[in-house]
Amino acid sequence: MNQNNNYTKIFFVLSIIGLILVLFVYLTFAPKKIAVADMSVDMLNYVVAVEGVATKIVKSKFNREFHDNTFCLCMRNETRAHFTLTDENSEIVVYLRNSDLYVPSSGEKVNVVGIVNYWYGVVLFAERVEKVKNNA
Amino acid sequence: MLDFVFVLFVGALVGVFTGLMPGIHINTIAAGLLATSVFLLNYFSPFEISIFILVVAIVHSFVDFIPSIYLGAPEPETALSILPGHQLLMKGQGYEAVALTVFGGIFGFLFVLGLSPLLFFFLNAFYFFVEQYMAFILIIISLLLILRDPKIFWAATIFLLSGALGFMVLRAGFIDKPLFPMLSGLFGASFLLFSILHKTTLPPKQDLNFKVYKSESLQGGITGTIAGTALSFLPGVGPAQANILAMEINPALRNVRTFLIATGAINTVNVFVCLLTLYLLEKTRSGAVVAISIISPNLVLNEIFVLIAACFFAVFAGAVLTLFLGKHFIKIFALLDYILLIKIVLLFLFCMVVFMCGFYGLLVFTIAMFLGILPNYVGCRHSQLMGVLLVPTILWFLGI
Repeated sequence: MNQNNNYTKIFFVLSIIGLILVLFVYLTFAPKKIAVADMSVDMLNYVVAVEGVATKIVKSKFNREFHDNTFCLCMRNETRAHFTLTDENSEIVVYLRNSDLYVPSSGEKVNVVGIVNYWYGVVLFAERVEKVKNNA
Repeated sequence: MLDFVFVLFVGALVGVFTGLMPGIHINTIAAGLLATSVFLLNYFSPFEISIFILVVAIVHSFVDFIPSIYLGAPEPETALSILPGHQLLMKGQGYEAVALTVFGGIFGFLFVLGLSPLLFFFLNAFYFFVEQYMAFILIIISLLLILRDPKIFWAATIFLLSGALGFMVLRAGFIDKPLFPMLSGLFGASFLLFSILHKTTLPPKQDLNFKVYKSESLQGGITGTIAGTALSFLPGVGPAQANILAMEINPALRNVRTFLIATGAINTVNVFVCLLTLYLLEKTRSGAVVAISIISPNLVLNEIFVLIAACFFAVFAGAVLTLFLGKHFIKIFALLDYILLIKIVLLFLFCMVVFMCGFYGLLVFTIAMFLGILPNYVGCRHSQLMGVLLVPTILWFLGI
């Protein structure tokens, strides 16, 4: 019984110390979520392509890496944009498809204001600036 | 036709390999296939590659339980099966534990296949209805989970600490596959560490027969299928949360045998429902289905029927192979030094975590291992550790 109590104390303290370490890493290095977009998550259902500038490293869910200034998702039916951006101030254009067409039907110029990883991918938090393109 | 048969059999063999290897998830294989699809398309049609991926995913969902139950080395989908499976293993019924998950998988597949005409009509409406209330459903599940625990204080503490870990790790996005170190640590490594500290040994005689009782098969199979179907097509929710839901809606799942049947059902139902979701909602809910949607966009109904036929093959191949391998592995494990074996598995998990997730992943894995061992000492239920997924999922659905 005493040995069990000792184990409880040891593992509890180690867990708390570990969580504090993770919290420190999270607060220091995690990209900040500044604002949740007026582009809703539902709207992200229709993202088919993203073009951007000043991106540092973009890595898709399938390990395609893009180091240039333009990148494209083109992942049909994805609910979220599967890439990682490290630059919070980049300006990107998100192409949406309408509900019937696979091809991009409109462009929304947005500012990237935060990126959050999630287990099915990466949620793009974006703030719409202006509608820039219509190529339906 | 020969190509088709070849694809089915090779898919089954690859599913066995990925299922037996801890850490090799079906999503990893799907991503690899996608990367090599340009080469594969010289020899196979896109649709044949899609069939291959589906067969691998289903066979994997069966075989996956062997390392989970015998060695405590889980995948995210089988994490919760370790402890009930281990209870039976310690009674000399490890093979029966595996067989129960196989039975659940077959039951779940046949049951969800029967439900599929209903899904064709109602999935769309159900999806939008459930999605709206998902946060509240998960909050109620979490509260029930904590309040029904015999040690409420510790249950709440462990639930919240796991939730904090899950939230920070998933939000930060430093790791490519964050579920692997978290769930392997919480449910796999913690169990291995506990076994090492307390010098667990396997009973030398393992029973190689199994029985499935009518009441437990109905309770586990039906609850698992309903929970798996209800949650598999929702964003951010997967088999692990479906397991918790199943446990809360049917207290009969506190029985380890019934629970294992339900877990087997959920795992297989998840693969099948993800496929239907692709066709009906045009949404992808698993790595395998993402790969299928990219390789074979615009699936038509006839192709869906062929894929369902391939599912039939995969379910029965997965079941037969799992029972065969499960029987032979348990004989071998019973002869080996079990403590040495689990030390090797723990070392292997450490190496896999470093290889796949780097040193930050190792930190997460170690903390998860310490957290995961606590329920053994404080006496609360291990399912409280699922706060690691429930808390971030609730926050995500609340838009936080």
